[in-house]
Amino acid sequence: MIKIKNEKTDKKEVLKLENLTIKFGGLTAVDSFNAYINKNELIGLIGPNGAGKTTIFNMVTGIYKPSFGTVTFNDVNITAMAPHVITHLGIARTFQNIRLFSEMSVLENVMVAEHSWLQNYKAKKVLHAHNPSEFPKPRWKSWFWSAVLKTPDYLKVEKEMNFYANKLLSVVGLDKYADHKASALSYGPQRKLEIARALATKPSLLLLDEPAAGMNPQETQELADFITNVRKKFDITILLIEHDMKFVMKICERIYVLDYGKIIAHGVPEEIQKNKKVIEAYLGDESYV
Amino acid sequence: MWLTDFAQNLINGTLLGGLYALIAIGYTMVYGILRLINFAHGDILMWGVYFALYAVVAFGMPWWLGFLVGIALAGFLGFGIEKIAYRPLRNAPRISSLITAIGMSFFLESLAVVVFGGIPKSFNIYPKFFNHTLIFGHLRIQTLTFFILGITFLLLLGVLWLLYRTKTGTAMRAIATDIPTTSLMGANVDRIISLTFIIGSMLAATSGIMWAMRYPQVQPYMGFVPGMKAFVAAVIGGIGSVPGALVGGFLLGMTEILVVGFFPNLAGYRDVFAYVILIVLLMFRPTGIFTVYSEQKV
Amino acid sequence: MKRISFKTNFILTVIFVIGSGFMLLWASNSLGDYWARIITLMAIYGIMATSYTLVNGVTGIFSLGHAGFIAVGAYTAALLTLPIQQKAMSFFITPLIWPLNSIQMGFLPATIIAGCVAAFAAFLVGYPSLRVTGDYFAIATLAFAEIIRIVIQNSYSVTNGSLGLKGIPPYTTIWWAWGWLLVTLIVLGSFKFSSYGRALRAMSEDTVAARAMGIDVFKHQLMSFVVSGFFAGIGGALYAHWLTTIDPRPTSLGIMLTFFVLIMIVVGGLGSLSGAVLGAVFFAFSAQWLRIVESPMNFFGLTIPGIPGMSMLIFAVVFILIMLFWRRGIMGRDELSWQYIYNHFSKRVGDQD
Repeated sequence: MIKIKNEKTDKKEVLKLENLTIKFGGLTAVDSFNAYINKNELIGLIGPNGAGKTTIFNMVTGIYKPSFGTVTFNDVNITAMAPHVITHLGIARTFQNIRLFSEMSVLENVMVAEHSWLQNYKAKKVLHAHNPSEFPKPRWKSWFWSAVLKTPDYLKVEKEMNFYANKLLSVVGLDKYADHKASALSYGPQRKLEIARALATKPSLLLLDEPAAGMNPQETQELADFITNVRKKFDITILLIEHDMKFVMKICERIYVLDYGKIIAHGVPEEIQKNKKVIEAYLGDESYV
Repeated sequence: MWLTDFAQNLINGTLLGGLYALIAIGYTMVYGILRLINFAHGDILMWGVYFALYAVVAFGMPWWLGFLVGIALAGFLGFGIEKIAYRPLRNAPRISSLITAIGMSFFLESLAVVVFGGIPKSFNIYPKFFNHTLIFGHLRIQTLTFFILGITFLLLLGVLWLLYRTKTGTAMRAIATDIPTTSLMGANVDRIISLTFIIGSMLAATSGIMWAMRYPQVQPYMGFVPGMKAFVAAVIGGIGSVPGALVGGFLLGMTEILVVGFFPNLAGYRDVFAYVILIVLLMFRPTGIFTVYSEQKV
Repeated sequence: MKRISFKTNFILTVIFVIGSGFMLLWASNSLGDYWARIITLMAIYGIMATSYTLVNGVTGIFSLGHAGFIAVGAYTAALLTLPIQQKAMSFFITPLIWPLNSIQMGFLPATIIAGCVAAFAAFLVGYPSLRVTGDYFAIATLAFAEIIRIVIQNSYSVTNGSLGLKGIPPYTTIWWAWGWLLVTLIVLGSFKFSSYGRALRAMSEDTVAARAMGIDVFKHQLMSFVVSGFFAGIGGALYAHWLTTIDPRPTSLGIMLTFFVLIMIVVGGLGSLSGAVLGAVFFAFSAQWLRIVESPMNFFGLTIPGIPGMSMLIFAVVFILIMLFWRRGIMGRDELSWQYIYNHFSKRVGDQD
């Protein structure tokens, strides 16, 4: 939601993960994970099943609290903050096993995410505490009464929400299904709707969890174009988890490879392709082509 | 004098705790397997007591046979309820099963009002020697107390033996962790679940009959409070764990009796303790005080 | 599918409300006191049911504590409107504490205060309870409702304990009850069809995804719980002045009442406000109608004795059958709007072509 002005170079770090570690019981699912993502980059995070990729997403978005290590987003330490505050600060995500609100309409799914526009007081306070000169002290406004009494300022916001949601839907090509139930969409459009829903929170960093899972080569090709397009159009940074190596090699600028919770390689696609450790980790995995 | 009071309360607490524990086992076993709070559990207890009462009063059976018949019929009732109301909803959202269980409880209570009448009936069908009071120094203990304590411990031992020393018990514990896998291993899941309901209901009915002997009255809503308390006991012990339910039952019974024993002016709030314990536990230790916390997968 | 415009919607609704007003006017004048009382009860149940379905249906958290808030509202309002002499007469075990023993106010302020006190109670209950989810939440709220009931039963100097309150002025008329129901429906409807309502419905489907979309789930659940508590309190206040006698037995303002309201919202369809009203009307009407089976009947000279408790049994059976075979209820999660009627009507016509 909150755009951060960037006066310095384009090389500004958007996300920085330092020594990120999480333990479940005795098992260390992710072990000292270090990574950085610069503004407008498209980064891939790959690795065999159970390597801990989604766990990293869950730590970045606040669903899991890391046992150790920090997550820094636009210079603000967001480690273990509540998921909704992290979303308000500007990180949005999709899920591996699509989690749409299936009983609600396509349009409503997007508008649910826009509810965060009314709710970002805490995030603004965090930003103010971080840098008082750039971010003014936020004023608390309860939209509850405005929403119930349908005051003019609420109706104005509601109209904006509707307008922006329709705009997003036409960008992803779902505008003609706006009134359909989300569960009525087929698989590919559901994935796109999930991305549109994430974009509705106006993020500066988008996390995509296996966006190409379950798609055929042609759909995957389309998705690749779609993601590059979205990045350009929304001026956004993207981190994606993917299983399909071809797909990742094609669109990502840098790649982190994870195995058993540890980084085994990091670099541009050509380097990764030749990396021995990566080939070993993927050996016998049928999705490695 | 203080010490005698304490000993007297200790005995009463053990007695009450044992009764709670017997009911709690049914809750905890059903929850362990189906993740369902069987709201009707307390009402099955009430029906067991009525069955026993009518077996003796209307059919002229001797008291011990009447009790056994009551317990057996309660087991049958539990079996039927699972088959008719819960089995069709096994794959429905959990809230639907919970609502159905509430409806079942309401149904059993209303049916009892229609069949037996809403007026409390006296439960004086057991022989008079249970009412003899034995005096040990300053302690006064009814024969009934020994009877109840004895039966309770025998049954608790029996349940533990069944769960940990027999094949059926192993299957029950296996189903509690994972239904699909267990059925792949060749266990008949439906049969085991039915058996769980039968055993739980019979234990509850036994407890209910002993409850009725101690507070000699039967009425259609008598199952609610013991049922709620037993649920609290099950939560204290970590719902799903049978040994936990035993410990939880005794802890709860003891706490209640001791608090009321030492602060008699709080007697009106007696039921509040259990609920406060429940709420505090749910908030800070929802898996009970004996089990380890497990993460939810996203 | 044609969309009905806002203007048409508004005009039709205003016509409907005015029409219903005339219907009620006719009912209160010509159906007699007995039926007027039943029609009043329908609206009271309607308020209880819509506020309950906001939590259990729309927000998707399953509370069993509704009767607790109804009781809080009932007692608050009754203590505020009871005539001072009546209070002095009723509280013969322990006198009523100051300032309650010297207050007597009008019905409207008493009702609003009752709503606010119940909302505050809902906040106190919801804040800790909402930390647990699913059936644990149900049990925690049930425990809280029982605590409220037991506290009422034991606080002789405030609530007159188990003796209850008698001689509450019978202020609740058709107009008060249906007027408040209209207010409840407007507020809850406006809430449900706002950005907040969308957030609530999203949470009821998937809390993890809702959180990831920036919704503070705990805050919104608590908000919905408190709003529900407010209207439960209003319903309680109206109920107390309809009954004129209240006491804390489990069968009057305890778990039994929660059961009844649960039946109403299950019949109407969990999550539908208009469905809850339909469920409430159904319940109030059939509860009266089923009195026939509880009173002695005369069939061609043959007298069949009435069976007390039979109506509750029938409700229980209907309730279980609905859960097993018709879980959607009358409305499912939809609302009975003009659009809904139009869609159904046009579909029917289309089928015949």
